[in-house]
Amino acid sequence: MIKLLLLSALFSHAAEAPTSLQKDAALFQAKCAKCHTIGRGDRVGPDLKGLSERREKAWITGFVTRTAFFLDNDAEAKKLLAKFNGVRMADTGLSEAQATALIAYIDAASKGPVGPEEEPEPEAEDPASKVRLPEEGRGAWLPGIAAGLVCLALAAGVRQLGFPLPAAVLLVLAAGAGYWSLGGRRYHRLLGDQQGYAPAQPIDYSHATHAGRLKIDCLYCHYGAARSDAAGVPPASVCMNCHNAVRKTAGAMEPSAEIAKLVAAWDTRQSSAPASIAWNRVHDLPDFVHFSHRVHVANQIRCQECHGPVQEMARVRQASSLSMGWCVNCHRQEKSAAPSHWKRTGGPLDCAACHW
Amino acid sequence: MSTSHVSPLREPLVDGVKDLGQITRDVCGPLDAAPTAAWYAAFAAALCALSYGAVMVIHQVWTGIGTWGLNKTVGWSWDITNFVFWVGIGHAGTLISAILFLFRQKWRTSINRSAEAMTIFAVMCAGIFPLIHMGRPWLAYWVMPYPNPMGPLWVNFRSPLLWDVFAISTYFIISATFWFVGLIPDLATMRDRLPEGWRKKVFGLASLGWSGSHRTWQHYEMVYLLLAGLATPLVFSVHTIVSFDFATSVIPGWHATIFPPYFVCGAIFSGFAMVLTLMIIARKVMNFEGYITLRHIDAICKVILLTSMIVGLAYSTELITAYYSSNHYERFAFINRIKGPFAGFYWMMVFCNVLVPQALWFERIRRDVRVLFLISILINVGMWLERFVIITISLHRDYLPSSWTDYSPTYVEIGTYIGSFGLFFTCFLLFCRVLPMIAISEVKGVLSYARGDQDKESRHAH
Amino acid sequence: MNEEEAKTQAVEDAKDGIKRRDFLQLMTGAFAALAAGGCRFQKPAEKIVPALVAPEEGLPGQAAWYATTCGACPAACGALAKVRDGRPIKLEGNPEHPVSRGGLCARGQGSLLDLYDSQRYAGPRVAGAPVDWDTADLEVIRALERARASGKAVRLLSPTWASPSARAELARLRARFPSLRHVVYDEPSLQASISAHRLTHGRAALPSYHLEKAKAIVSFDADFLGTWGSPVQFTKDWAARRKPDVEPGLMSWHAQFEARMSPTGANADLRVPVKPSERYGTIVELGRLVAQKTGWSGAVPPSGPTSVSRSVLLQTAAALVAERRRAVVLCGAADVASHAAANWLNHMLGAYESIADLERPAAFASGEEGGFDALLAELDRGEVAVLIVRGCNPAQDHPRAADFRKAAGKAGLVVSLAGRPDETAKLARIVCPEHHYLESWSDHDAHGGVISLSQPALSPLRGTRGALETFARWDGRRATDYESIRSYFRSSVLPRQKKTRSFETFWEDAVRLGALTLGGGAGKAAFIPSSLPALKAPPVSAFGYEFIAYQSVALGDGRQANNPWLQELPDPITKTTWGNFASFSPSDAKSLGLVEGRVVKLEAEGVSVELPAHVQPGQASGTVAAALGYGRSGIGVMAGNLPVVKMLPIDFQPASGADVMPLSRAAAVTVGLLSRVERLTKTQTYDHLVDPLLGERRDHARETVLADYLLNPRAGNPAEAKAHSLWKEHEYAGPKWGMAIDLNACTGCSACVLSCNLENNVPVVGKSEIAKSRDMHWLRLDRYYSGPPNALEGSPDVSFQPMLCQHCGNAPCETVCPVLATVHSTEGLNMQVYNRCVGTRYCANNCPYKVRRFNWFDYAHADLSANLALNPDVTVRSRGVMEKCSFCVQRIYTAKADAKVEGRVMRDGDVKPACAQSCPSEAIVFGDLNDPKSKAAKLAKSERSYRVLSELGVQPSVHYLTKVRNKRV
Repeated sequence: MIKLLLLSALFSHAAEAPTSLQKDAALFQAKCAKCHTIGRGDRVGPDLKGLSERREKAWITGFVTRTAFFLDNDAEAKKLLAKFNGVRMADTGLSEAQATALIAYIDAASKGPVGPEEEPEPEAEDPASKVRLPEEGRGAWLPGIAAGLVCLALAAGVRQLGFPLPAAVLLVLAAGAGYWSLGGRRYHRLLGDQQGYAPAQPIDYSHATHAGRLKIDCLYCHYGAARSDAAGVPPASVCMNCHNAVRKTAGAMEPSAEIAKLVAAWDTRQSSAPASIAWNRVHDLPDFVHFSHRVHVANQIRCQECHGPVQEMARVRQASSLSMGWCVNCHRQEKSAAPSHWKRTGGPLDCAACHW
Repeated sequence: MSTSHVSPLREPLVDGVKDLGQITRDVCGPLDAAPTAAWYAAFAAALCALSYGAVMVIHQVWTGIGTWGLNKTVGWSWDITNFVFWVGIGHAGTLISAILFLFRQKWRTSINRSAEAMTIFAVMCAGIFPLIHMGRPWLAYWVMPYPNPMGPLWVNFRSPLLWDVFAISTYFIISATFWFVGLIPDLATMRDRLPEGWRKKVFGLASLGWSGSHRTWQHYEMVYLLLAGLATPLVFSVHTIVSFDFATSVIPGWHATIFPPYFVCGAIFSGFAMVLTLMIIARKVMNFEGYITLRHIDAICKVILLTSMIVGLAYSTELITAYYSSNHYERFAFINRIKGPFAGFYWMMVFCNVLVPQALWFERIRRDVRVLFLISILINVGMWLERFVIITISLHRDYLPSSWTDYSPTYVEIGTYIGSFGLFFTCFLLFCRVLPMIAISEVKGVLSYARGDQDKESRHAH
Repeated sequence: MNEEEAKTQAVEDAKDGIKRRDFLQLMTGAFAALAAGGCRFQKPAEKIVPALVAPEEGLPGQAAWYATTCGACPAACGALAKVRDGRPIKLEGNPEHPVSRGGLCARGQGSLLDLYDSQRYAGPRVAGAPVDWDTADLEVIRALERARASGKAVRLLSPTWASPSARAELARLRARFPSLRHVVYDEPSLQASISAHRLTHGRAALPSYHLEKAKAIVSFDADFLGTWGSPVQFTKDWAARRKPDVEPGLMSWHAQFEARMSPTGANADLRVPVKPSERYGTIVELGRLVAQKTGWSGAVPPSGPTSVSRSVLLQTAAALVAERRRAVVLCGAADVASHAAANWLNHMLGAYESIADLERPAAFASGEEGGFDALLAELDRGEVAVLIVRGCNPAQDHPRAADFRKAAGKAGLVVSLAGRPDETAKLARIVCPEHHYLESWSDHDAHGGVISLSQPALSPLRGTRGALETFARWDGRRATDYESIRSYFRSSVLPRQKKTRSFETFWEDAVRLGALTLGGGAGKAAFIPSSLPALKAPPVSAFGYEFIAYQSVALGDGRQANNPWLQELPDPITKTTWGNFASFSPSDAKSLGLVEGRVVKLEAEGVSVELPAHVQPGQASGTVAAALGYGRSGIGVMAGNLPVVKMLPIDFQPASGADVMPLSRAAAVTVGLLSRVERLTKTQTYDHLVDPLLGERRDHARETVLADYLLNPRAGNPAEAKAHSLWKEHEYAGPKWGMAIDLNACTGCSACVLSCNLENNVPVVGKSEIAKSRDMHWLRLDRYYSGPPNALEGSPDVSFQPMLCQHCGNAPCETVCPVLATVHSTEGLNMQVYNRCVGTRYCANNCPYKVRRFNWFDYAHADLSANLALNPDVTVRSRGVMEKCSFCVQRIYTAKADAKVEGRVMRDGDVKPACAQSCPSEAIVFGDLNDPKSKAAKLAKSERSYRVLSELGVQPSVHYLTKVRNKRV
């Protein structure tokens, strides 16, 4: 939730127009927050609080702008690499100027009101709880009407065959009931509506634990969502950032079997035939629809608005129908003027916005 | 010596002396008897054509419209040509049954039933083509405005194709109703003649408990009159809207304001030609010479002659408009019809639709059934060609010379067209077998002694 | 990215490529079932398989771009490879590259498909059997050792291999095996030029031409805008002087003396049909006139026959002399004499001081005449112990291929480095397949003073190996290409530049930019007048028709003959696909009684080929021309001359035609008519703007001449009448996307067409469908001849017009679609929604430009090209769906997303559709017409701008700029 935190902190004393500080914050989110915190302890990489006290500016800039080179050649960097069990920092592609800006921002944030004690309870003022998810099953009454008409027609027909009216009606109703009991929501399945789909996964991974209890930012694992159209399922290396150390579930005595699966796969990474973890895809749009995560994230649409309360799901479930009507209803909404960090804006309504 | 009410100038609508019972026997007789060999032969042929067409359609839907000869420039050809052709055929039926009824043209009585049947079957044939000409016919229901989970997503009410959907379906429903209502008294007759059994049940169901009481007749007449009133505008609206498919486009040769009247006349023209064809066969095969008399045929011929001349006028108007417009594309579109690669079709069309019908000025020809049969066939061909000329020749050379192409049909297209004839005649022949081909009740209404000269009859009796 | 990861990715993507299609099929299938009365439909369960180790660069779903160097031809243009999820899906010109500066030709882009060629070798082979590398290497090394012991010859045969590190590597190898010699051969014309310069300047080199400086260009058979030398570079330079509205004095004057109608000739201001046998005479005659005007006192070459009218030559000479030091004469002949004479002209005109640079010569051709013949002699004498063939296919791509096939048997050992089977590899005992260039490191110095680098865009798909590594192994070292090239750069390139001392920084820059400009170069080379009198006019053959074997824009020398994208690319001039043909001049056709498609038999020196005839306006009478590279059944199913296979839904019909390479050195051929007729599969069947019945000219492609244009900028371009509409015009709050296409810059090179196909997954439909006029190209190049439809003599003016969806403001297609599958966007795009389309084709009928394309069959599944090359950003269209140019809407929305994520507004030039990106002459400009500052908007407002069929009131968004011919009358 560090993202929310920073942004809210900013909005509290920032204007609508993106100030430089705000830009730096965004930059920090995009480039650093994945692995670093400011004053909330080490994660994948070291805590950056009071960075510039620890190292001289030139070194930091150098390291940030030409990471690979430093990691190969610089002694300090090598030490750090060793300390953080060999997880190499990816190339940032930052310019000198950006790097300087970032350092300035980090210093500010180190002094600023940032710290674990001030982290808000997301549940407490989690806007997602206020967001009314668009109601589901639009057009679901369609089959109802159809069925009704069919029933009438059938009844009439059966009547003509000489049955007494009540008998005819009963017959038809029975048949209808039979179909419904057998079919259930099959009609929707026919239209490819997968709402509620929640397949078992190769590793029984719980978002309730990670996103809910541990409050790991969605973007920490699904880092693609901020920069790519595809949110992406994290590579094992991301899991191992923590699970190098963590092998037990909370309160358990012996290592968890599920984590063991992960580690087993991870250990094959150097082998000639590396194992793969084949997750079952839950949210699956047809290939003629193009959804860009990064645009929605950049527009500060909360993940939960489409994916539902993932932080409460032990097993991921498709919360929304993801039908076209459902998308469009959201895109139709007017821009809300409220300077809130989760404001929902109306999206484009051109067909070409999604259908390429 | 009572005076005869028969006008000496007017020959009777029904030849030969008949009493009411005999009419019923004449019309229903064939239905009780086993089908003739001729009927079997015709039905077998029709069925073959139908099944061949069915195979072609399945093949086409399975593999793709690529099995047709169309290309990037000519996107429509036989498919829509056949569609317009069949819709046109349909028109005569409604005209005869509705408009002539309103004009109290008594001579219509013996042919209106089969003409209406023809309409319905023709519209069925027509309806097939817009459906199968789609790239993804299984999604055809998307052209219907219905609530859906896509936003919802509606249809394009500006598209003439959508207007077609409504026009054709309306037309089909009204004609079918009109036809059925007209059938009711005769269905009752059938019911009463039939022995106990499932057929009696079915006719009973269909005749909706017709009792033949005065009140029933009164209501019946009223309903029939109203339906006739309803059907009349359709004769004009349907083909007008079909013509919009072309008139509203930007393609030279399509984009013409003259199309609606031109198409409607063409439709009536072709429709009557088809009626003529069918009647000539029917009166021979079912030996209804007495009911479908030369007088009927003569009347049909006169309508054909008139409409043929209107169509001819339309052709020349098109040319003059194109010339006078001094618009290069417009002028080229028509010079291309006359002198271009498809010119043969154009001149054949002119010959069949404008020159041939002129023979009908002569009464001798109007009463020579063999010649008339030939003429009616030629007109049917010509009218098909007319649509082909309009659609294909306009498309294959339009604005940018770079995309000019040629076109030639494949066996699939031709097979599908043959199949549509198969469907048409299968239905028609079945109709001949199971339903009274002539409106018994109405014919009885126009018998000579129904017009009050039964004393002549009785004199003969003695 | 690390190898396993990339591999898994590639595999996943392979699955994905197929999955996508299965999915669409299921969709349609399911709806069919639904329509048929309802059956259970479950979505197919899909897997997500993330990498174990996060790749350092490139996110799933985001493209990464790698600077590399195109390896399709020796010109070595700079290219950018777009990589999605570990596989290249698109090649584009590299704007940073000092030579090609952003364009990329059709063949270059097509080379992407060669990467996914399923027929590529999976690893080394000995006598046809797959073996491991060590076995193969061992056998080669043994052979080499034996050769060294016995002192027998070792030969490396290759086309120009302009790679410094490769030369270094070879030097090492030669040090170890002294009898190794490198024999180089290239397309004949360039070889002749090199030999000629040895003659006239004492330097065997090919000058690098700077056409942007040339105000007068006279070219003799040099198709420099099509296939001669470095077309992308030349096109860019040439086009720089074809934009009259930049400044009046800018326009260059371009005359083309040639036998067949080449793309270059089609773009010339003056085009004169000249037989090959009269070329030399014409050059010398022109030379003499120029000599008079320039007061040349030195020796003159002996004259030869010519039938070009003196007035034309005088006019040309005057134009050349008027532009001294800014005039150049190019020669594409195969004979040294013509080249030498051309050099003389260039010397008199001072071209060597400005335009033709011999100090930093171009190295994309270095072979000299005779090299190959000498090798054949050696082979015949059995002196060659080991013959190594790399990058060429002497058993097919040389006129004496037949002799080579015989002689190769006499070599001790033949080793081929071919990556895929070809005629030579079949002869070789050992095949050591090398990487596709997109898989390997390499460097090129094809252009004077410039070194380009190419880096792998993916880890090798198969068990191939880089050429340098192979040589290193044979030298007994284990050095990968990467190491060799780095070491070469550290030792030899780093010192030659001043920017930085640190090798790593220097290397990173070089790799990122893809090219370095270095100074240096040899000194001046003085002209040797005494060489002229010795020139001999090439012999004139008494009989038959003079034969011209040329390289087509689509296939070039035919090394990509098995590439369906290129086979289906219409030839710019004839618009023919999937095969070659024999071109005749209209008058010859008349005298022979030929009609198009009539099969003729061309015979010379006992060799004969059979080809369908084609009648080519503007071709010199007395000549026959046919394209190289076709009619090769040996190298794959596409390449040709296999029987048609009847099958549903589409008959499989490979390319037709015949291999004319064996004839290519024949001066003349006899022509015999056969009774057979083979229809040419053309995408354009009517060639003129003048209609055949009324004889009126349509002004779709407008043009004027420079003189008129300078007097009145609107010349030939009457202003558009004000349109009155009953309806309210669309309002565009944001951008209104539009395009401006400069007909003066467009050379018809067709790079845009192929670029569009790649970007938008346009399916290849095959010869049988093209024959039914069902080409699927979203962007086509209309080619029109001026003058009356059936003129016999003279050379018609040619104009090219890229025709694509015009994205009309009042689009006729939009109103007629019953299901709203094509609608207008708020940004002026005419959107086509494939998944909504039911396929009535009404929109296509009602499109005045006929740019809509219909999926008559399930082309996407029947597609002949590889799934892996599909662009995942663009829906693969299913059967029965209409499609058309989308202005690359995927790029528009990606650019928007980028801007959004970077928190900025969009800038002009953020969106570059595939066609505009790849256009070497920058004829296509895309942008926001609502933004008055955008380049597109400015052009759209210029006096040359007009809109095709604007009189229909459809308000097209594509603006064309009138063609201005620099005619001198």
